[in-house]
Amino acid sequence: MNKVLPTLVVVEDDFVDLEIVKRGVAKRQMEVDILNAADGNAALDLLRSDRLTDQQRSQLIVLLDINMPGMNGHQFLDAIRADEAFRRTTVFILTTSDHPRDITRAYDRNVAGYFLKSNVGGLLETLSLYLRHVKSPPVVSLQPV
Amino acid sequence: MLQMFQLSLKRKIYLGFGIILMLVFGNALAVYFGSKRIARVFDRMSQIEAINAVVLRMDRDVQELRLRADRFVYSGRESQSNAAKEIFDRLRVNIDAATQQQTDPEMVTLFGQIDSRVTEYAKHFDAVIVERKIRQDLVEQQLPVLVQQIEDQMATLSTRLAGSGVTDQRLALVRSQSAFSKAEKFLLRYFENPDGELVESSVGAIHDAVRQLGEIEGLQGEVDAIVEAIRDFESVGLRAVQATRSYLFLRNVVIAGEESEVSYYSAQLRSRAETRREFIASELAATSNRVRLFSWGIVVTAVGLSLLIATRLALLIVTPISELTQTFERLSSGEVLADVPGTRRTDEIGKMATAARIFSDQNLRTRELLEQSQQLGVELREQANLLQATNEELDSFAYVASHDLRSPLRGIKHLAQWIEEDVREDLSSEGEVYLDNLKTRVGKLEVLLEDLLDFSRVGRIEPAVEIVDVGSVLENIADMVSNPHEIRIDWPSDLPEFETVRAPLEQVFMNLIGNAIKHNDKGPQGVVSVTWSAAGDCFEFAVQDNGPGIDAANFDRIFQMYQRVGDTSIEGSGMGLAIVKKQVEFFGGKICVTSQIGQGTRFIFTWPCRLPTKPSEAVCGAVS
Repeated sequence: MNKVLPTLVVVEDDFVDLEIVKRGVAKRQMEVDILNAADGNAALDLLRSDRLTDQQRSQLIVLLDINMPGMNGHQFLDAIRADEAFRRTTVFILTTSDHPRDITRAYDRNVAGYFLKSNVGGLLETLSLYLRHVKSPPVVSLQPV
Repeated sequence: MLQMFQLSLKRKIYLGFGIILMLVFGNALAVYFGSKRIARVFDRMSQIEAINAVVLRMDRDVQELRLRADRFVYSGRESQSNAAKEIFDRLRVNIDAATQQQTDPEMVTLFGQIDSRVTEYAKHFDAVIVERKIRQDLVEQQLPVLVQQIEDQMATLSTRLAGSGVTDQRLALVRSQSAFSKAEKFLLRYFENPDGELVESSVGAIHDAVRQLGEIEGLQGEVDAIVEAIRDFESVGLRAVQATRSYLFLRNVVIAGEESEVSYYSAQLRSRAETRREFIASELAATSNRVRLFSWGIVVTAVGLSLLIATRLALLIVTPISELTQTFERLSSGEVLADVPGTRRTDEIGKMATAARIFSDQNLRTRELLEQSQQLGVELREQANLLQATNEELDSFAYVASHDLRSPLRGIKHLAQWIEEDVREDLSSEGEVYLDNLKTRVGKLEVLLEDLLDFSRVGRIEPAVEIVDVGSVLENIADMVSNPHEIRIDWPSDLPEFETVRAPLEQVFMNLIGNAIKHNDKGPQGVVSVTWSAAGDCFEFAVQDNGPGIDAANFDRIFQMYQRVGDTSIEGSGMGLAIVKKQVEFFGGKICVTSQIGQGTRFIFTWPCRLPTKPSEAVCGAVS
């Protein structure tokens, strides 16, 4: 464990879609840890749990699907942007919806990019560049619950 | 009267006017004949007046005649007798003329009698003239000569006697001279004033003068000559007296008698004329009265009859017509009448009433039709709403289905791909075939779903309006379309550039041109050509190919969803033309196809030059 890898939290209920991301990452030999949450609630629980170290939090990127059972992507975005600890967290949207309403709403919540699932390759290429060049926001300590 | 009711209105009006006209004409005739009759009576009246005038003139002439005669008798002047003769002539002429004009026999008789009296008068007047002339001659010529002779002889005798100196004889001569002088004076006085006594005195004086002369003795010769002369004087004087008596008798008795006769007859004439005049006047009064009464009678009858006819016609026409007018007003406001007045009549109003009846029936029919059509309209609207709801449901189903099916399909595709990537070498040859089949079918399903989604998206999203150059659209398509045989795509250089929605128009051209290329069987000789024309407020585009053509029996089917005709080996979902049709119709255009097997196919569609502010609802219906 000489080096902490960037953490990719994939909020996705669909096995295949998750698998696409995982296989794409593996294919590109990107050095990231992938964590999965099946819906918004699970993702929030994961982010707020102690399963993530501060080092991991310092290089945290969320890939968020919009249409999910339970808490959907928009609700999740609303929740983390209202949370002091995650309001600056880097979020990419990866969804099947190309509806302008969804796109607008996502960017209103300061997402770093909006990608369609048909273009996972594009997202992963962007991600690898992103990870190489972009500085992440500083980590905010979690408030004791 | 019953007959009159059955006459047509036109005939009734003509009949009425005919009767009035006849009455007016009758009136005119009556007035004409009446006036003619009055004129005739007036004629007779004026004849009477003429007679009166003639009689008056005659009376005046007779009076003048008397005057002239009297004057002539006293003066003996010829001018008076000539004047009297002129008057005679005039009287005769007048009487002649009046007699000839007369038709009344009594008048003619009267005129005849007057004429004979006047003739008698003239005859006697001629005798008067003769006698008067004789007397004049005697008195003025012969008597003075005799007197002179006697006086001269007596003067001579006196001279002779004076010489002898016998006084007695001289005295007798003087007495004789005086007596003769007296005799002469008496006679002359008689001629001035014819009195019988004067004649007797004169004769007495003459006898006295002769007796005195008888006393003279000697000189018998001279005395006898004087006596002879005195006897001559006496006879001439008596002859003159006789003539005077004669013409005075004629004048005073005979002519006066004639005069009174003439006066009598003229009075008769006048009274006769007066009687006739009065008779004619009364006749005239009666005639004019009769004419007036008759003409009044006709006028009153005409006015009364006219009023009656006019009122009758007015009642006959105006009342039913105003009823009909009301009826028609009610009918034109769409009312249906249970009963139209006047339908039982046989005249024009009856026909109009029948027309109104038909009108009413039509109204009823129209109302029924309207109700039916409203009912149908409601049903149609309900159907349309239902259809639209169904269509919307279908669209929404298509969208949801294609969208939701896409995700698991993509999953399957990826899984198959991963199997191939990860474990292909472990698969049996059958397994590989299965895997390939799986992939192929997934690909087909993807195309089907993509097209279904495209179809359901028509009208669901509002594309941006921009200036679209159709030429550049076609260039894009030519670049993008899959064209393995390099089939030529032609379009004119003057294609329009206008404000419209780009994506739908591009989709329409893309599908049409894509089909034309995909189905073309001519290889490199295949040609697709796009033409256009302006057609009112829209453009008409045509996409023509020289492909295999479409059987006319399939013209309807090709525009339906998932319907494929022609070569089934050619890939396709059967959605392309359905999308094209939906797109074209959504923007208010129309599409149709003309084709014959082996002759190529021509798709013609219209596209509005200006988009409506809100796209019309998609129209579902068969394509012509």
